[in-house]
Amino acid sequence: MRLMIPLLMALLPAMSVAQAQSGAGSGLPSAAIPKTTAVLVIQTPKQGVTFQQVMAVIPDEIQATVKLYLDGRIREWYSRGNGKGVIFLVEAKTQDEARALMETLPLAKAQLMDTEYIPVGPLMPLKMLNPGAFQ
Amino acid sequence: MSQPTQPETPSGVPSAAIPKVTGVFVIETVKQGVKPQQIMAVIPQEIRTTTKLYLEGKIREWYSRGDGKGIVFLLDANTEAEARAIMGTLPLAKEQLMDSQYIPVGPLMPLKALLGAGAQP
Repeated sequence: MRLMIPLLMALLPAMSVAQAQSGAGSGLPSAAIPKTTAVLVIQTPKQGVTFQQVMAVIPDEIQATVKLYLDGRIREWYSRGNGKGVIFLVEAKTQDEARALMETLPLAKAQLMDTEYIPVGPLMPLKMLNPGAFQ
Repeated sequence: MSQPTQPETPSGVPSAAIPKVTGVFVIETVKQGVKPQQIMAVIPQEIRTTTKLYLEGKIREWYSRGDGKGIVFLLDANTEAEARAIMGTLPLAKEQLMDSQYIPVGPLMPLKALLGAGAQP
């Protein structure tokens, strides 16, 4: 591992070039950007929405959600610890794909939820454990 | 009606909607103004410590954000405080280079409805 540090330092200029070419416009090295393998979806009831409003839609929501799960589109599903919303890990390659999926659900259609989409992929810094990956 | 074990519980959320916390999502994003070079300087030690946490079973899932601006972990923790203690051991957190969001999660409670009306909390 000690050997990795000089290697990483040597890589920095190359990464700067990559960032110029990445087109992301974010100043990030392209080596930091993973292939998107899933999208994390965080849903919280909008401000002012009552639990009763949500509950009125829940029977349909469960049906539709379980169907998406059985179709292999929802990889993981959780309730938030405070009871206010859900987190799904959705089988999607882009945020748009995840959004299209979620917008088929009754709660989204009723516009009761705030939704955040975070595309995710392999933990890229681990690449540094494998010097061969840089060649 | 907040309870000692669920201090964030707002009124209006019935206890049946509140899961047993079985994991904590941690979403870390590089703070505004921090340069990739600042991150890279810490990354070698960060990787070692992160991998060690994984091998200890503390990190259940780990992802890079699709935009490359941070990470998402699912930690094996039962409270937000426990998750914060785990993340606090990591060099990037110690250097205060990241904004962190903690979201405790548990079983998808609405599924209880599939058990029918007879199901008790």
